[in-house]
Amino acid sequence: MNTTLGSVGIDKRAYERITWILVAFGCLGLWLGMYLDAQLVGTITYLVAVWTMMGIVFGLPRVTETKLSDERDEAYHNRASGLMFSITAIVTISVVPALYVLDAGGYFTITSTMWGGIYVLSALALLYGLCYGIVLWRN
Amino acid sequence: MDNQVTKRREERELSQGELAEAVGVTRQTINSIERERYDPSLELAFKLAAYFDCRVDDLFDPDLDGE
Repeated sequence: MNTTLGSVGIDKRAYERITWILVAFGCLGLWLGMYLDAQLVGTITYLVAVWTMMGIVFGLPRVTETKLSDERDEAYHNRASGLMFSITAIVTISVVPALYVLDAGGYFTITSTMWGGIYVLSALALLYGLCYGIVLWRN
Repeated sequence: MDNQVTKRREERELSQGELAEAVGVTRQTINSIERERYDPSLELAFKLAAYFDCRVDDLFDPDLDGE
């Protein structure tokens, strides 16, 4: 008998709930691991939950007949990504150069944590440029 | 965007899920279109029009005069 998951009632809402529950479970496990001084157990819990979630997110649409995502999900994802990038770019462009100048003038000290944040933002900007180039090239 | 999707769907006594399955999207997308919270892609608009055997501009009104 060729039974698909679609025929046993996996719908979009259940699919989304399962993925979010797994993410929440993994984060809770990680946090509890740190809180209870059992970092290894917390990390393993997190990794198993997240890998399972990834398997479901990428694997389930391939083996079920049920439509689990469509153009609306993609449109919302694109809008959210654009909004996130705009906010990040505005904050970065408006704050980071001023911090450089204030740091150079001795009015302010950029801490190592802040440098970490600046490097992460810079890496994200470079990654965005790379991804944008790939999209342009492919279209 | 104003549209006639709900009217056409109800004329055919279809559920949102049945229409969604017929045009290859999720029920939530049909619901969002009917509530005018999501404007479909051209491809989906043409699929809906073909399904209801009408023209795209019979189904969707972009209200260009109101802009």
